[in-house]
Amino acid sequence: MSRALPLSRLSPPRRPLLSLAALGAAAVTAIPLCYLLVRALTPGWAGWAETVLTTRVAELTARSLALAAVVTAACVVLGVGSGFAVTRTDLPARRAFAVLAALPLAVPTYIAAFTWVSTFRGMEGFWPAALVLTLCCYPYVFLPVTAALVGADPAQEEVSASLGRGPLRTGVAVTLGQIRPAIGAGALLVALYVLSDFGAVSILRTDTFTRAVFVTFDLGFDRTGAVLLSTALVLLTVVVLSAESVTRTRHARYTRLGSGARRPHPRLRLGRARLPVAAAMAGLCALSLGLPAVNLARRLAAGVSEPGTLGEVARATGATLWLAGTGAALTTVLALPVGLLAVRSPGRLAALLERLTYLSHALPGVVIGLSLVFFGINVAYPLYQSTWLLALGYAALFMPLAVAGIAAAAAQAPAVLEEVASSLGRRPLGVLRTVTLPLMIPGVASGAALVFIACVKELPATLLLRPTGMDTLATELWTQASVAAYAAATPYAALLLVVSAGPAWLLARRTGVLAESGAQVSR
Amino acid sequence: MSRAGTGGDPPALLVRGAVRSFGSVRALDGLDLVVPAGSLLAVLGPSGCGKTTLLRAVAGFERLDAGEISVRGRTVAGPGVHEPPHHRRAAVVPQEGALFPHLDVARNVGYGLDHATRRSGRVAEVLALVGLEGYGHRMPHQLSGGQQQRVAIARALAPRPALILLDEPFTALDAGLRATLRREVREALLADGTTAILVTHDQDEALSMADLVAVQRAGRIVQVDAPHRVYSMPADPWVAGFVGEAALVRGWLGDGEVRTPLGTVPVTGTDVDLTDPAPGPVPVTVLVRPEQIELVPADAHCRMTPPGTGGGQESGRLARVVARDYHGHEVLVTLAVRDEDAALAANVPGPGAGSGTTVSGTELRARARVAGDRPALEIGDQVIARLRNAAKVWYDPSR
Repeated sequence: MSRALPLSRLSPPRRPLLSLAALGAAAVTAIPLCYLLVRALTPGWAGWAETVLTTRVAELTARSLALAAVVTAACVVLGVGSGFAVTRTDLPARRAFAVLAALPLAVPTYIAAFTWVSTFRGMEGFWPAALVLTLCCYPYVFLPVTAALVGADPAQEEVSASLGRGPLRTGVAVTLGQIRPAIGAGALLVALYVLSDFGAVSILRTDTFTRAVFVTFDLGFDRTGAVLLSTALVLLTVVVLSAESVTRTRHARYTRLGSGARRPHPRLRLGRARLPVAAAMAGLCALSLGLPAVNLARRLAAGVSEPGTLGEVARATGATLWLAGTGAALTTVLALPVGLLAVRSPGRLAALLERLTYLSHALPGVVIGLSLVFFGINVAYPLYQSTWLLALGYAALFMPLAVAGIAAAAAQAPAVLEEVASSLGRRPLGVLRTVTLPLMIPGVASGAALVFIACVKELPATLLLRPTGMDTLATELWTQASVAAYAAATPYAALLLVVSAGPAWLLARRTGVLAESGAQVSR
Repeated sequence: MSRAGTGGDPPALLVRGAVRSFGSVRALDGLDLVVPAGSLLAVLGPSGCGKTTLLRAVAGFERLDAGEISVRGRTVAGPGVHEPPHHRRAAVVPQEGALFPHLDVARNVGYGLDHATRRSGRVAEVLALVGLEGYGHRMPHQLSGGQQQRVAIARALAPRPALILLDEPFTALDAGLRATLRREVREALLADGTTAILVTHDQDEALSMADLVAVQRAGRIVQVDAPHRVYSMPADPWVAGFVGEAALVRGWLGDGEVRTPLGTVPVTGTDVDLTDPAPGPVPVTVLVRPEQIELVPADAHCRMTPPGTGGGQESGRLARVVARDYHGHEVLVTLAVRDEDAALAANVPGPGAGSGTTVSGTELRARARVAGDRPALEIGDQVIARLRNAAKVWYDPSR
C-alpha cells in the first residue's frame, strides 16, 4: 500500500501575512531600480536610439557577456574541483584548505587587480580581468557546492554503485545531480557579480558595460546616458536570469527520508595524485590570497608615504564594522520574508520577488548609490546622509546573498514543526520565536556573514552614501591608493582582509566540511 | 467498545457536510462525522480518500469550502468562521513525529504548557504515561524512532487538548515495534481520558487500536462502527472488500437462507427483508470471509459421501487450490471453484471492490484460512469447500 501524504505536503499553503511582508521587503529594495526605470523613460525613444543602439554598446554587451561566461565557467571548475578535493578525497590538510578556499571572498577585486598589475607589468585586458575575477569569485561556487557535497545522501551513490556504475559514471550521474542546484546558485551569483564589477575591470582596462556606465557618468556628467546604459544593463541581467531558469530543472528536491545519523562519505584515495592535487590547491591559494598579501607587505615595508595614525585607522575600522553590520542586519531582516516565502509557499509571487532582488544585485554600486542620493534628497530627506540610507543601498545590492542563506535555513525548519507548534496552542508570533527562528539561526547567520563581507568590500555606493565625515576601510584605501600613497593604503587593506576573514571562516565552517570526521577512508 | 460520554455532553468532535476541494478534486465531499468524548476513533481509508485533509481541516490547517466543524460543542469552522489552529485545542501527532530538534525531550513535551503547568509535574506525568521516565534531558536525535514517536504523543497529551489528531503515526516504524507501540499508545490515551482521532490506511491498526472505526471513501464517511461490526457487518460490499479479506459471491436468497456456489447458509444482518414475499429466489451479493470457509480434503470427503448424493450445505463444492500464502500461524489458500452457472459470479460495484474475488471464465476464486500446523495443502490439490455460519448479504443494486 502506498503511504498517504504527510501533513505538510498536501496543498501549497496561502500565507497572506508572509506574502505581504515579502512584497514590502522587495519593494524597499526595488527603490533604486524604480528610480532607474522612471528616469530611463524620460528621454524617450530618440535618446535610447542615440545612446544605447550603437555599435559601441553592442561591443560592450558582447564583451561583458563573454567575460561573465568565461569567469563563471572557470569559477565552476575551480569551485567544484576544490569542493570535491576538500570533501571527498584524502587531501592532506583538507580542513585548512577548506578555510583558505573560502577566504578570497574577503579580497576586494580592486585590491586583487591592483596587486596583479603592480606585480606583472602589462597585465591588462580581457584575460587578466577574467583571471582576477575568477580568483576573487570562485568561493561563491565553492561554498554552496561544499555544503551540498557534505550534505548529500551517500545512499544514492551506493545505489548507483550497486547497479554496476563505476565511480566516474556515478560521479557524473548521481553526485553531479545532487550538487547541481548548488552549482547553479553559485554560478548565478558569479555571473551577476562580474556584470556589476567595476574595480577589476577599470584597473585592468577592460571595457565592460559597468565600466562604461562609470565613464559616462564620471567624464561627461551625463546622467541620462548613465541611466540609459544602466537600464540596458538591467535588461542584460534579465537575459542572464532567464537563461539560468531555463537550465534549472523542475524544482528537484534532494531530501533524505527518515532519521538517524548520516554515514560519512567514503573518501577517494588520491594515491600518487595526492601531492600534485595538494600542490594545485596550494597554488590556487597562493594566487588568490598569497599574492595580494605579499604585495601589500612589500609595499608597507618599502613605503615612502606615512601610514595614517592609529586613531584614524581605528576610526575607519569602527566605521566599517558599524556600517557593514547595520547593512547586513537590515539586509537580513528584509530578506527573511522573501526567503521564507520562497520555501514555504513557492509560486509565482515568490519566484518574481526572488528574481527582483537579483536585478538590483546586478546593478553597479554607483547606480544604486546615485538613485538613493536622488531618493534621499527628493523623497526621504531625513534619511539622506544617514547610516540607514547606506544600509538600504547595501540591502538593494546584496539581498540575494541573504535570501539564498535564509531559503536554505528555512528548509531546516520544516512547516510541519510550525503546524505542530500551533496545534499545541502557540500563537503565530510565538511559533516564529520559539521554533522557526531558533532553527534558522545558523543558516541566517551564514547569509548575514556573506552580506557583511560584501558590505565591507563595497566601494562606490559607500563613497556616495556614507554619512558625512565617516570614512571606512574601503574608502580610505581608495583615497590613499588613488593618490599613489601605497604605504598609507596598506594598513587599511590589511585590516579589510582581517575584518572579512572572520565571517569567511564562519562560512567555511557552516558547510560542515570542518566538522566531518576524517577517519573514513575507503578504496 | 465505545467509551462515549453520557448523553448530555456534546461530542468531542462534530463534522457536518464538510467540503474541501483542490482544483477539481473534492478531497472532502460532504463529510459527516461524530466522535464521542473520550473515545479513540480511527479514520480508515485508502490513499487519496481525503482522510489527511479531514485531519488538517479539524486542526485548522485547511479551510473548509462548506460545512462546519465543532469541537466540544464550540464551532471552530463554518460559514464565516475559521478559528486559527492555536485556538482549537486539537494537538497534532504527524507521521514522522516532528519533534523540535533544538529542544530536549522535556521542553518538547512542555511546549504546549504555560509556565505554571510546566512546573507542576505534568511533563514527568505524561512522560511516564508513554514509558519514558527520566528521558527529559535527551535530545531528539539521541532517541530511536519509536521513542521519538512516544515523545510526540506525550507532547500532544501534555496540555490536555480537546482532541489528539494522529496522522499515521506508526507507519515509519518497523512491524514489531509498531504492535507494541500501538498497545502502549492506546493505554496512554485511555489513562489520560483523551479523545483521539487516528488516521490510517492500515486496517490492522484501525481494528486493533480503535473504539470506533470510521471508513472513509472518496471524501465521505461510509460507515462508523465498532471494529468487529465494521468487519462482520460492513455497510456495503466496498467496505467489506476494504476491511479484511473478503470474497463477494453471487447468491440466491429464499426462505431466510442464501444459496451460494459454496453451499447454502442462513442470513445475518438487517439489510435484506427476510419476509420478502418475492416469488422465487432473489439475487444477492454474499460476503464470504476466509474463516467462513471450511475445507475438507477431497479424497476423505469422497470416502464419506458417495458422489452425487447429498447436496446443499452438507456437501460443499469441489475446489482446487491455486495459491497459498504462509503466515506461520495460518495459511491463506486461494481456491478456484468451477462454476457451471456463470451467473453465480458476483457482480461487485464500487471502486477497488472485490479485492478477494476474481472471476475468470467460469472460475470463481475465494480465500480460506487454514491453521498453520495442518498438513500443508499444495497448489493443485482438490478440496471440498463448504460455507459455514450465517453470511452477510446485500440486494443487488439493480433491485
